[in-house]
Amino acid sequence: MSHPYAKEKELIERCVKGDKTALEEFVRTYSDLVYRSIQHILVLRRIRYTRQDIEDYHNTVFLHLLESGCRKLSQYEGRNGCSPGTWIRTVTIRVVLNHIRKNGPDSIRFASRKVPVEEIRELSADTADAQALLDAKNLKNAYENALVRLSGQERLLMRIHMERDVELSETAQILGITIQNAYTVKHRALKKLKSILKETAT
Amino acid sequence: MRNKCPDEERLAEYATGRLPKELLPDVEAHLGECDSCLDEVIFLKNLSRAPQKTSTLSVPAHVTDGMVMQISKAPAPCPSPVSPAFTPEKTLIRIKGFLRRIRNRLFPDAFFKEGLYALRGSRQNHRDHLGVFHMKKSGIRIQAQTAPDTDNVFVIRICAENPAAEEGNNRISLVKEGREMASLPLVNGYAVFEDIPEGEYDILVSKDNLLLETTGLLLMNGRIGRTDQEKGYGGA
Repeated sequence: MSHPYAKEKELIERCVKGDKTALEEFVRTYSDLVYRSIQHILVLRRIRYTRQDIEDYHNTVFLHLLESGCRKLSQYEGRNGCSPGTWIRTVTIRVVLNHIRKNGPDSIRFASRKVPVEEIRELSADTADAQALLDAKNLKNAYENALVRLSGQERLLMRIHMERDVELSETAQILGITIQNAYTVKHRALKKLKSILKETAT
Repeated sequence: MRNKCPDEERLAEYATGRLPKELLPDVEAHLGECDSCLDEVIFLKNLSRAPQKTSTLSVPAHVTDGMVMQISKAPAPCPSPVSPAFTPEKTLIRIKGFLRRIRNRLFPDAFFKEGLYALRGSRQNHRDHLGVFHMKKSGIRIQAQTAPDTDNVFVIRICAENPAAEEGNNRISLVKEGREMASLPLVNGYAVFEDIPEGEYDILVSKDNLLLETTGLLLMNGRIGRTDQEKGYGGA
């Protein structure tokens, strides 16, 4: 049986060999996907951007794929029916998120505006209660320690649903389980967390 | 200990539900620990549903054309020199690496006695900020690492790799520009130099007041390198 993405793989192989026609075809095929993906990522991250920002990221992603004799591109294997589109999307996400993580949202042109210091919540007098911050930090530490004792799936559900505020239905989709199952896992995880936290408190 | 982040394809397989069942626990365990990868999976899942949720602009022609132009201007990549996949040296390195991974998995604490820092974990998390060197003649291992949250302060840990290296009155000295900055005896096979500022150092190992071996150590901008210049210490 031939590979489901044999044509795309062949195009990628030609790119890796340095065929300029193939490289042009590759860029024209996936340019729109990368461009749209970048917009989605920035929207989901709630980062405001300019067209120039998207263009910069677009070029960064392609350069990442094609530099050093298409080193990154050559890593695509198409295992278990993974399409080149999904793979390129994942690479785009990794490149954009890594850039934001490394340089902060301020690296985006639109977001690089200064905030008056009195508007920073952490610095305003009524919220900067050192004891409250310390308590919150201790609680967070206790929660992190308890989380380690949950099973892989339970921990993942807590990380996605509770920490990132993703709805349970979406969390279930991410984990590849039914919504009923997600409720069960959540219930079980919360029960376990409670008992672990109680145990550590006493 | 956190495992190495899975490659993009593995994450894509997980997000699209195509990951073989036997690999699922490993990936899930990693996602439970690694915020970066978890974010990527959530984004990927969101993106695959996004077309129905949000509208986006299609790529302007000048962006694609600009990229194509950039490629056509670039010189054709030189084919990388083809080296044989299996040479005795490569095979030996692979076997050694394989054995080291097995050893680390089976005996995670075999080389680090109680009280010593979790160096294996550090190696995973701060890949660029940990240097491990061996001094074969004196049988000791030097591990240099950046102190937490800094790039210019380092911790150097010395440990004896075999019982023979623990015998006798061993002393480790840290020398910078010919001046001894610190000196510690090897106690139970260990010595730790803390809060070492960046710079070029020589590490001198002496046994029963006799210089046994020297090595050069470069600590700079979070990077750790070994220098092997001849410093004229004589005995080594």
